Amino acid sequence: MFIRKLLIRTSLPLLWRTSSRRTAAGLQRFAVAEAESAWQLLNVLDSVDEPKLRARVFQHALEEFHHSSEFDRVARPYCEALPPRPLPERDPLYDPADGEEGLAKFMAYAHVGELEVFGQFDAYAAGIGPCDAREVFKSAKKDELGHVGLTRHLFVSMSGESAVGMAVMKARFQRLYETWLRFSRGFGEIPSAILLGTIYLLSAPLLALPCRARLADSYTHANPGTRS
Amino acid sequence: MNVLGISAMERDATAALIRDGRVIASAAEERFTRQRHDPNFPHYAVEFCLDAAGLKAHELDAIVFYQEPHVRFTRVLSTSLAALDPPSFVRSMKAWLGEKLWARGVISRRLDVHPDKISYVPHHLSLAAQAFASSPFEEAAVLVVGGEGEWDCAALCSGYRGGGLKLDTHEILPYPHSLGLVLSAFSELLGFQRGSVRDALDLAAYGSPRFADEIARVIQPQEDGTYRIDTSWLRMEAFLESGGSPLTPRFLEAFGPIRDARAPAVADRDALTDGEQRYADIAASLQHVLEETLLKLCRRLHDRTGARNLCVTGEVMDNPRAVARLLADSPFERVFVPADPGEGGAAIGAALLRDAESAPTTQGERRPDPYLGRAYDEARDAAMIEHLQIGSWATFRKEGCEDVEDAAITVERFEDFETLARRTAEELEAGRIVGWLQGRFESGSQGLGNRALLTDPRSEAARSRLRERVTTRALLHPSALAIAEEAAAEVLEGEAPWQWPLRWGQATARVRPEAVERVKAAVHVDGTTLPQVCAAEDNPRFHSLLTAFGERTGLAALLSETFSEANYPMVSSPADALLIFARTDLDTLVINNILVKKVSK
Repeated sequence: MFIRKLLIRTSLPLLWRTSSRRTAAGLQRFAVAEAESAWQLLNVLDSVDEPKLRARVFQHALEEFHHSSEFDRVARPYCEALPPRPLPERDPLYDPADGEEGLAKFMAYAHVGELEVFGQFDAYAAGIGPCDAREVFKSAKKDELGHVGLTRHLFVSMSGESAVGMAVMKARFQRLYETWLRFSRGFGEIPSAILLGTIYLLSAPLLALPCRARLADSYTHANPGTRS
Repeated sequence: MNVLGISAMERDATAALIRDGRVIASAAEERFTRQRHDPNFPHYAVEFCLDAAGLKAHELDAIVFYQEPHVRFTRVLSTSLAALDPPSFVRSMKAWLGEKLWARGVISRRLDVHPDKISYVPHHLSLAAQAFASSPFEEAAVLVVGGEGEWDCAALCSGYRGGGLKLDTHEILPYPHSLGLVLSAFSELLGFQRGSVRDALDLAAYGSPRFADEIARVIQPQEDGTYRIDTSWLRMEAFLESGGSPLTPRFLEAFGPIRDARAPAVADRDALTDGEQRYADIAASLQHVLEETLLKLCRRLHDRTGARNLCVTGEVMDNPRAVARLLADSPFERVFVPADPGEGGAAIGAALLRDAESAPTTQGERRPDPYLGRAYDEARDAAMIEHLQIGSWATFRKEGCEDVEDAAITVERFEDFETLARRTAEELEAGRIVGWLQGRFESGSQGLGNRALLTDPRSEAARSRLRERVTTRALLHPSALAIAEEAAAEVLEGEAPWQWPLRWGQATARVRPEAVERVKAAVHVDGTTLPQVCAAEDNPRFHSLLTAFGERTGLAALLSETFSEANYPMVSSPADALLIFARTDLDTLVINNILVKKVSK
């Protein structure tokens, strides 16, 4: 955590100053991540009946949703046309079939996640100069601290104080594993890109002209048929 | 027979369930994941469709995918190799070899069904089938104009029902002759995202078509009524997996630099700067060339088929001004556009076609129905609302919205719907903005009285407040006018029976000069509105609300916008609606039989 914070604080001023498009894309990624958190909470809300708990989960979702739209708002001025927003596939962390035990597990996972996000926002707020984005990081950081407490409180109310340590440790391992998967997926893309690049270099000189001819002559290739 | 239709992996992933020729359910994945145009596998939409039909995946008789991926792959491969652009080749091959090419395997694995149950339907037939089967016609010509399918970009077809659903394809206008891709490129030039063609073309109302000749060099009309795209103006490979900008130096030299999306959108013709006027003129020219091109295609299709009715579909047809032009000037007597003319609607069409192949006598539904999504119960939300702390929302409000620190929420429950309608009409007459959530959500992007944001159409102040503090959509985009069928002739030029595009806000219509003052907030800068003529049999609850408002004000009409915020999909559940209620200046929220309202303490 400390190393990541240090890296963010030292590299961020340089990275964000060199490309406003990169800055916009970075802020947009935060918007996507916060929207994902809001969605996870709305997914939980769908399966909770107790009105008071629903109200708390809703409030939490509202805050995450607000953060997401704030990151979107501050990303906009950085470039004349925002890059297309990433649309990751939703993968619910809570399955209603797992009942209250699953909900407690979700809260422990969310608790660890909020702690990490708090650290990240803290580092970003310190790493960038005075601007709107910095204010958003600062204000979101405060909210995330509230979420850290809320998710812990909800976990304790479901599973008891004694279960906190073990649940948090499991959640940390799970997140570590997910980070490893992300990293290895990204790493795995390098050889596939090299392979595809090689295929391109071997095939393009032979196939580029026939492909162009095919595209130019596409009208005569179109073969209207009948289907009934 | 139960058939599941799926469209996914490109844009607007959607699932639809057909049982014996009837559409039981259809929903876009974006409604459940809250990501606009979500292209990912429609896991939640499929789950909803199966629930609605009371089925498990293994009980399905057939599953169809809306296009033939292996055929499309040949086109992607040809484009990326022809372009001599290694990064675009690597990017598109990674996406295609990773998942897109293996749609059958992906569906089989995700739903745990045998691959033999899964089949493909050509893209243009999926679109054409949806348009024709959901229309009220016995026979019709069908015009499909989309972005890109396998190799097809537009198709001229005809459909007839004689004992089933039959489609004939007369002609295909293949890739790279895609109006959709050209429109996307111009959207980028006009400072909008590539998928926001409709928003970009809203600028057309503010300009004049002085660049029409230049645009006709890109979209070249042919003597036979078709068109060709001169691809030397564009980098076609850029449309593969978001590979950079499609605008070539030649294009930028002819049409000028890309409009800065940060520039404030001006909704007043007189306040446009020279630069902004130029972009509005480009949009008007593009709209003009597009309309002329579509009209010529229609004439060609009419000559071939001799049909009296026309169904049009494909993402290009999400263009109310163009549809209005077809209503007025095409040789067809009646025109129909499906509720979801884009890729999402193709899931319904593919399933309908597969169903008709196996059970040809089961077709027969005639009254178009856009309400195919999920319905929600409001009881749990009513209980939750009582525990919400409105004061704590103060820091999570949108910029510029009113302070709610001293506000409270009231919840009113109604046993009788007529009383709720009268109560809501009272709120609207008082100038309040009302969020209206009833029953099943709509298919397609347009709210048609089940997910709507409503205001008094006489109040321009209410419309401005709605745009600035609720939806955050620029005022330059037109608003729809929902109007009871009985009152429509008082306001709109034309007469009953109102064609379907005028019932679903898919075509613009001129407002009678004597009625402008009564609906001025919904009248666009060019004197038109987007009518949603509502008959009691189409949507009884919404019709009751319009009638109740008419009893108070003398005109059964409301300004209506889709219940969503800019850049987000239409709301689906009460919780989604409550998020907007909490963050914005939405004053009143009606969820089925409850009315939720912010009040000063």
